[in-house]
Amino acid sequence: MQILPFYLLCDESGSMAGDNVDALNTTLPELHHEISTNPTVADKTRFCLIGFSTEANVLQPLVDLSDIEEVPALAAGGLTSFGNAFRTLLRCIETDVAALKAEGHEVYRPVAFFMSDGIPTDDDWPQAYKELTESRFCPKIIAFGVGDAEESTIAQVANFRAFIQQDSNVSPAAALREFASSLTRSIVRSASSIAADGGSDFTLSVEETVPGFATVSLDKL
Amino acid sequence: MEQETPSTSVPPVTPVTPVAPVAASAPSAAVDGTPPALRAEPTTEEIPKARSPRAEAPEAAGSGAEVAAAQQTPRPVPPTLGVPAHSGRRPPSYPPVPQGRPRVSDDPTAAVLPDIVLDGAAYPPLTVRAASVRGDSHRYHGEPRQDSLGVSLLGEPGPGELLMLAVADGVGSASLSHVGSSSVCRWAAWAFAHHAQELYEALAAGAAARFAELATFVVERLADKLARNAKSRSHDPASHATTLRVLLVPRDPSIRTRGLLTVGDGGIALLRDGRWDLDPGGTSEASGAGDGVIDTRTAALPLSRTAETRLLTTRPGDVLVLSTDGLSTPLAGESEMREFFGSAWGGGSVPEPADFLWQFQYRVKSYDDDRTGVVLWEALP
Repeated sequence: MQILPFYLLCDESGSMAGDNVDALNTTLPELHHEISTNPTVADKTRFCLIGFSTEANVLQPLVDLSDIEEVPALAAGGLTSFGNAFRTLLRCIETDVAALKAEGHEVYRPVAFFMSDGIPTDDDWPQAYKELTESRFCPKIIAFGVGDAEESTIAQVANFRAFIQQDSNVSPAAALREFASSLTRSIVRSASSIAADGGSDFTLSVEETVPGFATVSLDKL
Repeated sequence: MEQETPSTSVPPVTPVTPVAPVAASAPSAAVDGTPPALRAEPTTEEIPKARSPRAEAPEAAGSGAEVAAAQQTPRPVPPTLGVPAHSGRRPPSYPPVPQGRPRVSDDPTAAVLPDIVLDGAAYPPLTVRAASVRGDSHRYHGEPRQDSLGVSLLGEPGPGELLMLAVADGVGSASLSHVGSSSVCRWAAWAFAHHAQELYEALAAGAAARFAELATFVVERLADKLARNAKSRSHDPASHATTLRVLLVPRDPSIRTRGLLTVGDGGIALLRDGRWDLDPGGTSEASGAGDGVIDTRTAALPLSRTAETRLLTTRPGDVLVLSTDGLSTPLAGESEMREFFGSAWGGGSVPEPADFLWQFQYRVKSYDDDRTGVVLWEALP
């Protein structure tokens, strides 16, 4: 099979407690349903959920969503260690890709959705991020900043798309729902190798705008 | 719900028709004297046993007389092949049949493209079956089939005739690539026909450099024409991006050289003595598959203007499969698919068109791209 590994990294630090985490937990089953019932996505993606705060935990190891009944819930508490999130993501990707290949599958470059409401509390996270992005199977990272997240930080985290919450009435759950719907539209298509953008190994179609969010320019690169 | 049928339960595909010359056997009355149905429905004696686990043709040959006796009004049941076979534990979650079409008001060019094309030709000892099937993903999203195929005879009557087999895969990220691929397959026939004699001479002489020169010349003309056509409609030429793979086969059975030219990805595979060679005549080592991540980028006309060429030498009994990546990718990646097609096509006989189409739609989960293949059987003398 051809498999696209998808990683959802959710901030579950203390500042996410209450409405934010509740809303995300309400949205996860919708996400599960949306992904597992859309054959374009269901037949070739595997899903992994990582919650991070002081530590990062793999809440749902990479799985075919049609094989599980429900996605584990997030629980808020602790600080905001981006470094642990990226280290855990890198470890998961390396293990998962190797395992998929060992089973005889072909693998697309992984995709990671990263959502945070805060400012990282660890100083050395750029080093962990660098190790992730310089790794062989560096994922395409789409970052959502909600609440107090800083635009510059979110832009630094993303290497593909970045969005920052504009309207405080829009909950992180809306962003997650948007993630689900982006995912279902993320059809993997062939691309011309001499496309104007120089191309990458596959095209991920993710909306350039998300309602209630401003698109963050990644031109800083 | 879904079938959980292990693929091993799919009976091997039994060849039905001897290799060309294909003599159309006249439908005969059933053994028990049951009159053939209206318009000579094939009797159970003549049809292959149902091959799909789903196609439970009522008691095939043998017990026909008893069945007829047991029923007041015996009526032959037309055979059905049913849902195409699949590999692995589960079939793809998509429905295995054509779905919604593009709307004319949205895209008049896409709206008139068939979901499935089935084609073929016979020039003994050469027999061709060809199919282009819209991918599950395009069906699901109501998008057009972006693949195309072409089967044409080039040259003047006589020993210099060439069979041209072509497949083209419109680049998925290019909005009008279905126009590009369908146009280029038609234009390729006309453009190569202009040089049929020279191409024939190059192949007859096994002159690789000359063949490459001619192929490049024609491909450049095709690139120009594609770009011009796009511009004349005020389209960006890149929006018509398409791959192209052409196999030129002399009709003369004494000439064993076939010319292949390619722009972009796709496959050419050789089935010889029941064994697959997925890169016949290739110089490149196995393309590092299994090493990195899937790369869907491809060179494509009209921005790419150069063709890669190679000459292939075939033997009587060989089967050549020219395909878009919708077939070559799963063929390379899935051993069950290789076994299935190997058994369906490598048995020394050519399937009937409807059987070929059923076989061709063999399903493998996660491979939801358009699939196009032109298969050439070279009969034993």
